[in-house]
Amino acid sequence: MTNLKKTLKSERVKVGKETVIENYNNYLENRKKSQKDVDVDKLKEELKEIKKYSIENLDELKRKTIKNLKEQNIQVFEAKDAKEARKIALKLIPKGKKVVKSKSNVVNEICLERELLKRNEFTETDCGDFIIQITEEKECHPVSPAIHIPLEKITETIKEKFKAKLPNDPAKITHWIRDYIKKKIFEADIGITGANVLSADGGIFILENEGNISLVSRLPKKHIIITSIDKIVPRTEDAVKICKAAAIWGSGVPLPTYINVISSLSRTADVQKNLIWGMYGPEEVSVILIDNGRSEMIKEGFTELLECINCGACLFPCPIYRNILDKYGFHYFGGRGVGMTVFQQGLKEGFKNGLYYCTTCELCKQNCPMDIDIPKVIKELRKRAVKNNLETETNSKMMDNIRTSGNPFGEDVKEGEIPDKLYCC
Amino acid sequence: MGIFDKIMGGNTLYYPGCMVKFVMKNLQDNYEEILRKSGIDFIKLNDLEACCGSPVLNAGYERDFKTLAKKNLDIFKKHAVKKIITSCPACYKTFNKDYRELIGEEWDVEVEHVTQTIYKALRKGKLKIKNPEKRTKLTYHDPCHLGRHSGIYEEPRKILEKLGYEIVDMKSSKEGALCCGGGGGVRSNFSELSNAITKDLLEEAEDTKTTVLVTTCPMCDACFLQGAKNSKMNVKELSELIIEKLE
Ligand code: SF4
Ligand code: SF4
Repeated sequence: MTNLKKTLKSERVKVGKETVIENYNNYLENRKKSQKDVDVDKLKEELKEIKKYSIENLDELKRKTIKNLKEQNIQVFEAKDAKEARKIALKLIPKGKKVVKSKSNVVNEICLERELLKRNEFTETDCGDFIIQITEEKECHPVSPAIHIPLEKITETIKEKFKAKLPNDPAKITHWIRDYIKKKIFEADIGITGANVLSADGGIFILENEGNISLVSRLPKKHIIITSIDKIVPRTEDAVKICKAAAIWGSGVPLPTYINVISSLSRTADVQKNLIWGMYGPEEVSVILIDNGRSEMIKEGFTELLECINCGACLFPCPIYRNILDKYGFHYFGGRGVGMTVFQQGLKEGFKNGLYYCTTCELCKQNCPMDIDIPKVIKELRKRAVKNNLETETNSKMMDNIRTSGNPFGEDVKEGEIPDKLYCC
Repeated sequence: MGIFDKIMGGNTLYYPGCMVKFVMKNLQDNYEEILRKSGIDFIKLNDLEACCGSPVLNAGYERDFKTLAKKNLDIFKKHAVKKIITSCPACYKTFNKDYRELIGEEWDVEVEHVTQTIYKALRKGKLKIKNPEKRTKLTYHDPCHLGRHSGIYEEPRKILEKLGYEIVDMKSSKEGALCCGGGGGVRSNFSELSNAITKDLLEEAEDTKTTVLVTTCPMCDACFLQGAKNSKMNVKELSELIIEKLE
């Protein structure tokens, strides 16, 4: 179990929490503004329909996606779990090659970075992820990974590791990072990205605000896209809707700065109509499509979790997330993250990483573009925990009380005193 | 109610819920007095009724939840309960949503949260309150089970206004109201975590520049009372403010 006392008092949580709370209302206002020209209810309804249909018809859509991508000279590999995905990726990435990566939760999910650091020159290109890399920290949010790292620590680390002279100034630091990373991207042999959506008609959609992804996916000779089966939707139009929602709920902007759509190797037929593959884009594009527990989630009726578009909107208001950040979940955070943990790391790990932290307050659900009923999922998984004899000590005491006296407090409540153990709600 | 009424219309039960019955007992006296003064004819089942099962269901004990629901259903039937008035938002939500889901058609009991009952009585002039002398400012916390879970935001606010209070909403209120830290078993299982959450809410309450924080949930009330030892806020449960102003 996480040491909650220690986590609650830690500096990283203090900084992260302050950033979250300070920026939350701002974010809400921006989100509202970004919805000015959008029929939000309609968009949400359409999104729900798209995701429901996609999950119900996943096998067929997956076949179609793979077929369409392959026809356009994009290699596709399927991986059933994290280990298999890592193996495929490492085969595609020769030792010693220079690798740059943009933000991808699925890449984190398969712990690829750990392996690459051992055998390659590896650079994160998302500004936040780069900060995490150089400070040797752990990301704590899918969209804003470094909110818990104070400015001073970033400056100090850059000074120490890169001997760069920098003032404690966010703009100067960001620009230094930009210049450093840009150089790394130009030198790189291989670019790794994730994908926000795959459309079965053959499109890979990757959103970004920084502009690193366009470079990472275009400049190196090889581009590897690591993503998961739940990202598949039927058509390009559906994918665009998800991109829009991801921008609104993820960053509070009406559109992301860039939407990269990749549907084939770069090509030309300008020399006497001879089709030649591999022009300015990479010469080789591969997609690794991972399952990693998702089919099991579908089989067992937990499809709602797969409707998630990874915007992170459920995290900022969550009372637990605010107070312990990434310690609520495993590779994915918050109540939804705990749900993913159960299917990816197992029930026991889910139990250890927050299955019983959720207060069922529904703030996440209220903020989610997909209306995912996270506390309901949590409660279903708690039923599963109980069936597997995973109980907290407190709960089993409460149940003793219930079973013997019909109320959770049992006999030991003292008149006029609020007891320590408020077994209720 | 006489036997005849019982057969014809059934009984109205006041169900305080375990938190009120065993921990926040003063609230039970308050609400009984308020209901009586509102002209509501109600029965009590005291230790005949069992816990509604909310904490049991939230903790994942499905079988025990079913046992409790069955026990309550039987006892309510035996006493011809046609309507439940409860002062606990969690019980309200459980009877209204989870029992309906579990039991289906057979659950034909009307469920009311006490703020709905009181607001009706105030509107109809059945519950009389002293004329407020001046409007005092306070802030109101929407309990999760009453607000987001059940959509009841207005009744408690309107009651407070009728009592002569002016509500200054916290930065996060209504649909976006913060959590008190007490739900889902977090208070009993992870008290430090729960305390931290309570503190976040109390800070938002302080930011309203009012000095009174009122809620209408015994769990929120208990969390705030424990947390307020280090806060400027004076914590009240709605019934306490109503009692003060009854004629
Ligand atoms: S319901 Fe649970 S996961 Fe959702 S915001 Fe509340 S505490 Fe967080
Ligand atoms: S659960 Fe909803 S709010 Fe949270 S990341 Fe997924 S889509 Fe966004």
